[in-house]
Amino acid sequence: MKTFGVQDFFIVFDISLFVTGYARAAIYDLQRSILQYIDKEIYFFCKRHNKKKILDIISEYHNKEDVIQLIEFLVKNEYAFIGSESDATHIKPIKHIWKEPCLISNSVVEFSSYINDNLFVIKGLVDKYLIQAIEFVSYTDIIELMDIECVLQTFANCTALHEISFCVKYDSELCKENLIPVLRQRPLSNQFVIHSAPFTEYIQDVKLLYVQQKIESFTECGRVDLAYLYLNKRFFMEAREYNSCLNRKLCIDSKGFIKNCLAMSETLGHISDDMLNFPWDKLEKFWHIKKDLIEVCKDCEYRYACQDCRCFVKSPENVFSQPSKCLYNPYIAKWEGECGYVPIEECGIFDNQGRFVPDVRKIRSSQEHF
Amino acid sequence: MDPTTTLVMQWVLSLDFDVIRINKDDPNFQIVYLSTECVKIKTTYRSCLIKKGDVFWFRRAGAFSVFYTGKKNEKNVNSETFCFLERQEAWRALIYWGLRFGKCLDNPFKADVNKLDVLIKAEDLGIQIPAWILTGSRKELCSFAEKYDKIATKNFTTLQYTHKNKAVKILTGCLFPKDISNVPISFSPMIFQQYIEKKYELRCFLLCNRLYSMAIFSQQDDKTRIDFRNYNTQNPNRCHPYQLPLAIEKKIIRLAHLLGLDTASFDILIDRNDNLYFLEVNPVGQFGMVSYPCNYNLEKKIAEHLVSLANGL
Repeated sequence: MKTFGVQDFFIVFDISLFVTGYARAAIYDLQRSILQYIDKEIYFFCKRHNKKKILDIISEYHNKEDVIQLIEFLVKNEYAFIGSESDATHIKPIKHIWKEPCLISNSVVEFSSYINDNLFVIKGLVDKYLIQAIEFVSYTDIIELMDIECVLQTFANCTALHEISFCVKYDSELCKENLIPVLRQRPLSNQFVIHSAPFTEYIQDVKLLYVQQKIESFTECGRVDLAYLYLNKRFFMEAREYNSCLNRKLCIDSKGFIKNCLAMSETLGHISDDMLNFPWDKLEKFWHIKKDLIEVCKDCEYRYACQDCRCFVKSPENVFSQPSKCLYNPYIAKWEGECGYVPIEECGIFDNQGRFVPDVRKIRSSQEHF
Repeated sequence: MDPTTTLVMQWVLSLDFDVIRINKDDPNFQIVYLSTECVKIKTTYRSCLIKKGDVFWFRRAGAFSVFYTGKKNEKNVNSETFCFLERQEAWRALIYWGLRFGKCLDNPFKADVNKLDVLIKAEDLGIQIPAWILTGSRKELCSFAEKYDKIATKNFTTLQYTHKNKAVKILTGCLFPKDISNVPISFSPMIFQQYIEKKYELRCFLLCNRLYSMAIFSQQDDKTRIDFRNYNTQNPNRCHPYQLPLAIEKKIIRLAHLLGLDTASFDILIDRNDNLYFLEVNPVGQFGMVSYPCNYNLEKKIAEHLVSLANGL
């Protein structure tokens, strides 16, 4: 057993990175991109005893051995630190603010001959709104190599842009022998995905990926799965304040219509319109719907790592409705397919305003049954 | 391209100011003409007219000029080197123009600090530093080492060299008294310091008379125990925002003023008894590694500062 000095303080590095859900809590280790699941009791322990003297903390508990083990676990994984009073004063938590220089952070553009003829208009938007990343997608149309070179050339000298990605359909012309030299010339290009390919291959240095999966429309989007979690500081800070999918997104469909998301039916304008009259308020409609406001998500420990979806939701009449493609039940901390999983509908009821009310008895009985 | 610079540029643009980036390795960079009134330049992507009173940020512009000073005195060089040195001097002319007629953040000619000069200036200001000796003699080193359990070695430059086709990074090393017998009797003089067992170290970035500090918990990891730059990418060291005591902050800022630095990165160490030791200053301060983990948004603060210079505040 480790012994502690009278002047040893228990310092949790950053209690705000401890996020609690209904059934369990998690520590967001953003620096190492790890999500450490913890009992809710540990969450409350850390919150309560942060920056207190260790001996004082231990004296409050009967099962001292467990408390020491817990503290050792937290220290070993560097979620907490044993330091002096001076350390406790000078180590500060991270300020939770999200700031980005752009008015629009990402754009997804559906590639078409119309778009190809109007690339300079899109370039105008990229420069005006300091768009940082742009992605061109195509589902069934074949894109020629020449068009790709043209896109890369057009966007080569946008000051703010630092990522051009593609997700296009396979064609024999888009073989790696043709593509690699083009991609090597342009350091801007980021990820190049080719779907519906007859083979799977990844060429790392130019980030060129061939996949056999077919992508036929944008409705493939909106899935919530462990594979789609984002554990980084930027995502975390943004998700605490804004919608983690739609904030500062502007998408352009194959006919040049502007939408917040390509899967949405509502169009907000056209790239040929004068942007002075652009209905910004409509584009920003969903930007402030953060996870803390969304039904069920607000009870979920994954809420600052998970990409939201406002397009495919359980009850479309409620703007705060839960994404319908979510496979997780935060009331029992289980993913669909896991032993003992039940859908959230069996853990509570929706009231007449579409709000979800968890039912402790139901939750308990579903777990006892398991 | 340096992503930190890109981010600062985006912030400048978002504040409705135009900005142009001149990369020193841009093969198409050209000074079209330069007079006392204005400069016209061309880069791969655009051309631009710089007027008197425009704002310059010399990000890492100095690191290169130091590099070639040695060669300048050679009388006979090949034509490539000659062209290179000519371009180099034209580049320096542009920096001098900026310092004379523009408003500047960072002076690249001040970036060349000497470690010993910095240590002495810090000591004068009452900043605690580890005991040191500058010597090229084994005998002197031995008598210094007798007083301490362990000695830290420090070379003057921060370059790396190539040995057997491998880049050798020179970091701070640790020398035990028993190893000193392997040291040559006489060697190129360098600084040795008392090795301080650290609790954690601090990286403090100075901008506009404010220090943005970060604590790095590198002690737990064997790889980073002596020099944090010996990065452990698998399991990065825990980094957290840190507030230095105000009295020390003031002294550090005075030190920067004495050295003529607008921005700089300071290395500080905290020992097991909460004593604070100043180690060194890096005038071409990398701040991305402080800004991102601590969420300080320093790129935005730099941009705001550049804009306030442009507005004449």
